[in-house]
Amino acid sequence: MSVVAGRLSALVAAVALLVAAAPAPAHQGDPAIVARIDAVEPPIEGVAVLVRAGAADQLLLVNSTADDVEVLGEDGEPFLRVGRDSVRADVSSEAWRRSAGPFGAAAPAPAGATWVTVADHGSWGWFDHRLHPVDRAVTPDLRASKRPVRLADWTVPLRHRGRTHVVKGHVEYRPVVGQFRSRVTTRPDGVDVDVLDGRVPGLFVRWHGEGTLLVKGMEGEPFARFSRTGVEVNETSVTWRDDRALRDEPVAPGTAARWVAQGPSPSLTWLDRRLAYAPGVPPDGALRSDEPTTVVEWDVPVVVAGREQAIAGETTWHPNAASGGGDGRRVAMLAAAAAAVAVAIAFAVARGRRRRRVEP
Amino acid sequence: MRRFACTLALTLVTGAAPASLTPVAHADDPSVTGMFGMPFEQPGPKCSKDADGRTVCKPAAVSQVALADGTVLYWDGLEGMEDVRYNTVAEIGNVAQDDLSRVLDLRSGRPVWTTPSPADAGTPNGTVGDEYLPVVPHNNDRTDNDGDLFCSDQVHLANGLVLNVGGTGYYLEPGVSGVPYGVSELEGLKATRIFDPVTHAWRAARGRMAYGRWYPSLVTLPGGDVLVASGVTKLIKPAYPDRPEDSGTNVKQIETFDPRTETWTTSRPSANRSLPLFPRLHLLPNGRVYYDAAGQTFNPDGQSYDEALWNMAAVYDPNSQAWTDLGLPVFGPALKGFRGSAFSQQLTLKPPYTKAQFLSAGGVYGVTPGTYVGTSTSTLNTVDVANGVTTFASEATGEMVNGRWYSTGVTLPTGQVLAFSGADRDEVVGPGSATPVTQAELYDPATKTWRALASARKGRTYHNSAILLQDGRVLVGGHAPINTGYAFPTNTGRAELGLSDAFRDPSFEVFSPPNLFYGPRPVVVDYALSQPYNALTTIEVHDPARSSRSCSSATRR
Repeated sequence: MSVVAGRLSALVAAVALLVAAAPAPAHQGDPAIVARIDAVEPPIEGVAVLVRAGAADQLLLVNSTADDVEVLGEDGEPFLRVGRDSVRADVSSEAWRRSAGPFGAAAPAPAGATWVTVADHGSWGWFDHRLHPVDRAVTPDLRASKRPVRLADWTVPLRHRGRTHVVKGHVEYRPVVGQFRSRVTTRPDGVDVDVLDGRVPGLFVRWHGEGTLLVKGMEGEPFARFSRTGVEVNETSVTWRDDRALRDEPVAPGTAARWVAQGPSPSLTWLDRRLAYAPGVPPDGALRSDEPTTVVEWDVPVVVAGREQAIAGETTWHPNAASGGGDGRRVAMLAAAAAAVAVAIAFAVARGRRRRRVEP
Repeated sequence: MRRFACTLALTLVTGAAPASLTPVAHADDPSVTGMFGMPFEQPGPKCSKDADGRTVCKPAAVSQVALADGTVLYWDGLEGMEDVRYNTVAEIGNVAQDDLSRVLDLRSGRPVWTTPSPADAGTPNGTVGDEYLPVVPHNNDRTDNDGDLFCSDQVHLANGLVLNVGGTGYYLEPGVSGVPYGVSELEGLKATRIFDPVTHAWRAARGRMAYGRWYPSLVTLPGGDVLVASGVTKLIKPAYPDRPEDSGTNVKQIETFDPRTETWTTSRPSANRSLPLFPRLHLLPNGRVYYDAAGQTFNPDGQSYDEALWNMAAVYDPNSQAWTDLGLPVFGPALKGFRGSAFSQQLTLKPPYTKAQFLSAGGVYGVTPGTYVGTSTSTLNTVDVANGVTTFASEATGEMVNGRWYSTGVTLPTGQVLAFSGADRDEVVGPGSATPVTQAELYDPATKTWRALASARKGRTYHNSAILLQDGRVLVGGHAPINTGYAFPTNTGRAELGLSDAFRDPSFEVFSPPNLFYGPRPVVVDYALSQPYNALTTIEVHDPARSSRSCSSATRR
């Protein structure tokens, strides 16, 4: 065997090792397969956990408390300690080494723990392969049905102040067959409102009434105060902190209200989960229907001149409209292209095997 | 008609388009429908193999720049797609090539091509390597695709040079050196390049951006500085274990280029804003920058947790380095918010130049999960900055004749707006699944309506382009698609269903708008070379009574 051929074989072997050692990402390159968080149980005040979509979904943790959050690996041992001002990792652990890449491959880890500071801020993102189950697949029947389905559940344990918490989530197949849209149905006099549709919807509120408009947050807390001279937000409001976390601008928690002016214009835009349909996937009845289905009736409490009122609205699932005909044939055409790819790969593999067989 | 038949026969026999740009006969009245000339392309084979066995094709005009001397600079996109054997996602990071540029000269009536030096714009000052994921192995064996012009943006500088910013660097990550398969990554470049329209030479600018940007947008500020916003640093896997705050999002930071020093300055954090790729940005009469709540999206897949904010039209003040939300544009009769993969054209300003209007048309609704069928709706947004107060209004304007995704808009000297090319649905969601929209359309701001024009002979869907030439005609080109179903290119769907061409198209078509057929065009007899600001001026034309009304005289401030 030549030197070049030898090197090539080594490289191919390295790739084979990489692939064999690594669980395939849940995505498999399919953006319709997504990981979602259901809950953190029990919740941790001041700690946000998010999933980032990518070729392989990534788990992100932002800690604004004074104490570390430990992330436990599949062996129950911590491999990450996320503090408010720094992140440390056990760089010798297999869990850490696998978490660094989307495919989860890791060279053998040395014995013992080696804790190293890896960041000087209070957040970290890692490829947690518990979000990437390998034993669930989207069957052709399921794909043809265009119905969302829960493929697998996952859990990631955390430890904070000596107590164990669990991030619970699932992986689902979520074909794009429509979209959620929100609209305002009721608003107090003097309030103009627009809804911003998106994965997490938002509100754009303008106040042109007399006196003050107080908007309450997701937990009933005072959230925003509008007056003729501008708007202030309560930075310790869970609603504001959630908005900032979604924008990757986390705010430290607090107990007392902390009002901060936002500008001279009595208008404010924020992201608000009250408008979202929490499961993310529309209910079966909505999916079966060709007509829009209202899935959330929401309200945002406000106080106008001492009187409790609400900005109210609804969020509706809209199935994608018919797209001009010929979709069946288009899908068939793309399916034929996919089949051609499969045949080509099979042919290439078979040819490779034949070649290997005849090599001396 | 006889000429058309002969020309067509010549095309079929030679396999190459005729060089003549003479408009062919059309059944309709060209003063109503306009007229497309015959397609033409650079002579020579469409594609050939180089010494390394790579497929090298004639560039398709993915991007065009009208140069001051009347010539046109253009360059290709997604070169190397033809060399994908099985799967685009697994291979393009390795087989892609830096795209090639050309200069097209139509001034003599016959097209002449020259090749800039270097043709691929050379090695930029911001290439890949800064953004590899830690620990993850990568394969960047091929370095001739690390400085691609693809997905950059460009503007003219005040000195006539062309500024080009961003672009694409390809590699496989994960990937292993020596193995041509992996997960393809398209990295946004920090590159800053200059093209000299006199020497036709590319060079690197002195400074490079602080952030790698794939699909950024540029806006020239009143003092001549250039602002850049958005773009993404890693397209396929925007996830950074060491800085999750930048993960899964586009670049939020704004930078400003100083043409005198050729260096960039990053704005304060107060300038940061989440924007879509290639955000539709415009300069307002008061020197601020307007975001038209539109951009490039990969509907229906979302790209950012705060993408709901992209629905909001907003204004950026370069002095205070802060944004102000304006409101949500309407989208058709019932919806409000973001328009994806559509054009946004600024209408011609009128005295007293305080009110700017922006027409966006077609595309798809919403950020995510979005739709993927091209809409026929259009929106007219108005930003008025009179008396130092910025007001915003949005109205649903005329319905287009065709639903269209990824069309290109061109504003005519008449103030009317043309729409060219595109597809009936999103071809990023399903490459090769769309039907091309070849019929041009015209929007008249006076009536706020669209009407159908002549149809092009070539379907141009993903990565098409069109620009206004100095003689009032429009150069239409481009089409460099992603491979069919993200696999390899096959034209089965085209043959069976009339779907889009799976291969790049290096041809052009010249469109003569209806106003060129209104009658004798005005001939300028005399005008003063020196013109003061804020004063009326008169341009004398030959026989104004027979000339087009709107062009017989002009007033400029």
